[in-house]
Amino acid sequence: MVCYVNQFEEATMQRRHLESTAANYPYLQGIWIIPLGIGIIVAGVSNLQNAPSGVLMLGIIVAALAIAGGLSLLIGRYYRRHYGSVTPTGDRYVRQAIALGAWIAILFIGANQFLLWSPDGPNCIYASAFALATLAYYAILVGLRPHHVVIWGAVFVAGLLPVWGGLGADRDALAMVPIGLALIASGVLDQRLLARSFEPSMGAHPAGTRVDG
Amino acid sequence: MSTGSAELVLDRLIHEPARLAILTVLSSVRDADFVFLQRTTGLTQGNLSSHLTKLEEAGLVAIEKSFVGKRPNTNVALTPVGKQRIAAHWAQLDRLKGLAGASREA
Repeated sequence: MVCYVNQFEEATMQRRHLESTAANYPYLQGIWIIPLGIGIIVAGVSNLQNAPSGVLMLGIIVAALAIAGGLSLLIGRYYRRHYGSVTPTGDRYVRQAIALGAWIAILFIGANQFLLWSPDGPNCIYASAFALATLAYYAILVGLRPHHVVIWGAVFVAGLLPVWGGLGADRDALAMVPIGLALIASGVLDQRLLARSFEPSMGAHPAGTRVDG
Repeated sequence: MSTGSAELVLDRLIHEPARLAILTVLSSVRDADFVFLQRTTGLTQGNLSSHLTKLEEAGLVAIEKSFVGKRPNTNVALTPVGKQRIAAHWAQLDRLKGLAGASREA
């Protein structure tokens, strides 16, 4: 009987693993956010002093869109060929919409409120709000993992430190550098998590018992 | 496997480990393609094909073949009957787990 209990425990664990791998697969494809992180760093660095002129700005936007389009095709193909594709359930789409709504609300409404209260403060509410918004997004969509808490917790705390006032540069543009780096790190670790969830130790024998049929 | 009670007999078609894995994966998504099922279950192409055929014949999954660009693509989804049967099967396993746990404590 102890043997049966262990088999059922194993079956339950493997069931959870399979369900979680399938349900979270579209949202842990971390490679997608690495180019986004690089783009944010480039945007931040190019805006540190004065924003580029109109023509240059247009050129940068067109080039960025072309690169983003090309990378999207390559990344999409990589995931389709290496891991396959799924269509999430309706519940997952609803959860994604809620996560995106929370991200927008925290970043744009929450941060703007704070900025109105303290426009010239020594901290960078934009960085903290971005970190908080991203933490909320992950928490709602896939559940917070340790690397999300460490990376985005660090950005949140960094934004609250009173060091952003006298740097001689646009603090929001400067904040895009650590935000971009955090996105890249988060993407790399999400991808690692995704790859590990497909490791062959789990999956082929979810019931723990064998019944021919 | 049976506990001796007619109510607790497991569905042999579903309880086969590979098929249970396929149906469990499909129960968490609207549909999945062949590559995804292969990666999550660790089955070979031939084995997966054979299990999918059995599940399709039993009316538990619907298989749709198409082309994405020039590459063939096989999409698989649970049918309403399949959804019902896999949910009932896991409920049955949970009941058996509860009974086994209770017997161990007694």
